Amino acid sequence: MTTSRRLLSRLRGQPVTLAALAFLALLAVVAVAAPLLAPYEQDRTDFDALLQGPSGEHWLGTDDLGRDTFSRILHGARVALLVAVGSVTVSMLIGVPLGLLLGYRGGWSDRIGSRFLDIADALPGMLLGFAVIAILGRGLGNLMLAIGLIFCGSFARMTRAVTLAEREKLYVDAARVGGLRTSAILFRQVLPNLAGPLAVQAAIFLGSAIMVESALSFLGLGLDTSQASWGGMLGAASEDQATQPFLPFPPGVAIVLTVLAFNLVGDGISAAFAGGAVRPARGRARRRRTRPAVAPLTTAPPTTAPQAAAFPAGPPPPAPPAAAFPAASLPAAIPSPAIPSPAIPSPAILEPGGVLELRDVTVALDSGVPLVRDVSISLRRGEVLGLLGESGSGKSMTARAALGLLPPGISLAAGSIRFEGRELAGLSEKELRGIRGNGIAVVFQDPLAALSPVHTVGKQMCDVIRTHFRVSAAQARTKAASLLERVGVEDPERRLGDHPHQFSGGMAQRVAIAMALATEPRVLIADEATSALDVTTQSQVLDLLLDLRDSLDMTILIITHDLGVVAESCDRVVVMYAGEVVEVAGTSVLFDRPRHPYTAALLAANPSADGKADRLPTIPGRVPPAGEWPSGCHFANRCSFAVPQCSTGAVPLDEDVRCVRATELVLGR
Amino acid sequence: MTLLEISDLSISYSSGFIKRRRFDAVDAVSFDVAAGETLGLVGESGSGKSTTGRAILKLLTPDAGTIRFDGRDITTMGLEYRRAVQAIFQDPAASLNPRQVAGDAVLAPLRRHGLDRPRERAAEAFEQVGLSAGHMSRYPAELSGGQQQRVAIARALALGPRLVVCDEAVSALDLSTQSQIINLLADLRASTGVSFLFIAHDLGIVRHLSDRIAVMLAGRLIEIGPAEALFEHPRHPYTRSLLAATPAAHPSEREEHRVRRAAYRPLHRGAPIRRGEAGCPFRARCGRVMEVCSTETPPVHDVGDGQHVACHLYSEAFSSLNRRRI
Repeated sequence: MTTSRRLLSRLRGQPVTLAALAFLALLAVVAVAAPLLAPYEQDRTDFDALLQGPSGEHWLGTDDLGRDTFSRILHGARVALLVAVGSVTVSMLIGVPLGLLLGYRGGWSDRIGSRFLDIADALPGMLLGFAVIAILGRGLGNLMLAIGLIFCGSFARMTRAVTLAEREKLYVDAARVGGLRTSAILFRQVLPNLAGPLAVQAAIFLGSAIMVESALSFLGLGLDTSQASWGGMLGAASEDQATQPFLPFPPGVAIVLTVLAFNLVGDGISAAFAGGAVRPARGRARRRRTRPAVAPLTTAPPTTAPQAAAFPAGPPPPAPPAAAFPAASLPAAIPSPAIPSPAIPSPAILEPGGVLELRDVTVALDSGVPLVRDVSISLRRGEVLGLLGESGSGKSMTARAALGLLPPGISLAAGSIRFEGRELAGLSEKELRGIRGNGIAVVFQDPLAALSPVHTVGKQMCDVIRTHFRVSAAQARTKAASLLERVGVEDPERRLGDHPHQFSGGMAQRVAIAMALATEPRVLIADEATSALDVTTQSQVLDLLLDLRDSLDMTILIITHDLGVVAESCDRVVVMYAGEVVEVAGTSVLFDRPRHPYTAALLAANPSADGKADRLPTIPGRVPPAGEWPSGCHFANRCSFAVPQCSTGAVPLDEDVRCVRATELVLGR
Repeated sequence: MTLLEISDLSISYSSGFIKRRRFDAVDAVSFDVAAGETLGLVGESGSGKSTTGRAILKLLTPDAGTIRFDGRDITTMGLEYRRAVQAIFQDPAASLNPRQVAGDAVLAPLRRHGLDRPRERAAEAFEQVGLSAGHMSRYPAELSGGQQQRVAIARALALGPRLVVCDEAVSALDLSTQSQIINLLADLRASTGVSFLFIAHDLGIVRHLSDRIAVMLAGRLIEIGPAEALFEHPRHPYTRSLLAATPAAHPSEREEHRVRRAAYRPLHRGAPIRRGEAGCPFRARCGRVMEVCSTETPPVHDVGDGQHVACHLYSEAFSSLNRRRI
């Protein structure tokens, strides 16, 4: 579906906007057909019927010259629309190219031009209108020009602002590399991307133009009085209001309704565009340098800061716990009506002694579309477990479900999550917070998003420490300094006084880890925690994690898309594909003898720094997005070993591998 | 035959309105790219590798130094340069105009350069990158990440360029898509003879695709050489620490990697990388630092086998002392 069609379908869902559009369409018809519709000519005077009220002959009465108000309102619509459309066209023709040029050129011309726009903005618009009409005289064209000049500054400013943002985008660079002319880049590449904001602005200014036109006509600066205009009628009405109090009502109501309609349409378009942020191509891979899909909570009020800081990425957790977890807190799988569970449970990876155990976890959108299906993972004490998957595999959603940090609109549809034997599914947000506070800690990809930018690192760490332990401020500070030293930040005492932005990427991630350690958690979840770091920094942070595991006896779950990170640091690996666990194995075993064709293909496709092959084996096609999963094995349509049996029904996870041919296939390098 | 020749390229950014601060993004960098060659340009974030690429694409103007293409200064070249040098960027979604169908993205430059049969050429380019003609009428949002990057590649190749600058062209793609695109680039290089400047942070991909590799640090080019030689015998202490930091390809190599990493681990992790001043940028972290490293900028030494390194350890005065230990 194209953008414009999507937009139209969204507009169709807004009854108020539709009503406003219908009103404006009616107005346009009236304006065009005014001479045919009007019962009288607009300037036909009838001195026998001066200043009359509404009657059968004159529906809306007559004015001081005995002219029919209804006919003049109809003709006035013509002037109103003509002036509105004309003046907005004039202001766009001047303002948009000016804004495009200023925004695209940047530098000094932009600075000077913007200051001029600011000065122009400081002048009252009406005054500008007076001046233009005083110099050029009255008349339709001059009126359009006068009103157009009032608005052109706003168009220029808005166009400039959006252009400034657009010109930094890669598609503009690509167009320049392609040799396109500046004018072609501005008008064919950048301008279409401005269509949305410009349409909103234009709709609102069409309404404003009618107001300005009315005001100017009211003051006698608009059109000749022989030409009916709503503002002019209002002006005339003010003189005879004492004799005929009904006079100002017809033009007044016409002005109010029309301006309101334009503003409503503007709001409607704006809302339709705002809804356009979600694109259909889900799972589009943006890997390095991107934040997690859910923006972490960066600042929190002091009372909640400790928890927010300890669990850096806390997106607003689903407020009513019942929405996040079905009320029942039975450890056994909560039945889900929408998603069928395979009959065979997966005992192979469920074992006693697991610190954190996920059993048959299904995470779904509120619409019922599953994002993660029947995932069972057992985290053993003291191990480093890798959760490996491409984007769209559901690995991060699984971790968020374990933490009770699912974003709004996504919830745990079925399954059980046990931490040290205690069922977490169904716990209240407050209880969960307690567990997240000192049982499980998280480190996310973007350390700066996890730290509040306005407080020093020392204050944030001390807040966390003092919420969890009864210690004095001085003791907390000493502990914070020792934590920083523990994660390898040099000169920790001094750096406690630094703000997060004063740390480099690798150091900031160390600070985020120190913060996570402040509550002495037993489990640390690292969600793509090294993906945005340079290789040297990444290896240092991985070494740090392993070191922490050894010295603090911590259990670590590393969520990653990077085979190198797995090879480097994990004891065992859980491989996920399209919302399902496809294989679980010890890291060495997995690399030597993968049992699932997807794992084998992934390993083969990885270009390594240790050798050079002529061609890389590839996996055809792409990961199916949630909602488009095949009925049988999710990987079947990309698998070179697929047989008809793969697509007949759900494939259970059997002996740690989800493949119907697992026993017969011999995979690996 | 040398296609692209860069000598003493320097680029700095200024910031601050009253108190101007200068940031040397690229500092006297020289290297060349031969016709048909793929040169990998690696370095960590902030090393200046992308800035160098943007200067070659004429997306920014250098402060000093020259870039010659086919022996001619590129500042004297007009539209012909735009046709000869093309780019593939990191983020395929951002490098395509969201309001333009894929076919138009390829057609617009073809029309601009006045090439005959633009439609057929665009269709051929789509076929060349493994897309069908049906993809030409799709908007970027309707394509997957891999397909978007294929469109970007088609756009670059349709003009028949002689050099393509790939700035992290596969880093944003999923592993299974990444290998498809890497193979596609390798195939296109074989079939068209185009040169690539392959800018990336991922050493595995760079090694896989490149004939030679250049390493940048803090705006300086510190080592350049044939891919295999550079990986087998890295000379600069920084290159060694960079290679040692690369994750193991197999868990069995984990211990070996850890030992190597410990040996080459830069001293004083937090110590600043020196930028825009005399001396070696790596000196504060280098385990082999000498007095001269903070006073004189290391000159480039030819260490044989086509390898060149900017490090005082390889200068005549120290080589007799150090050669054996290096």
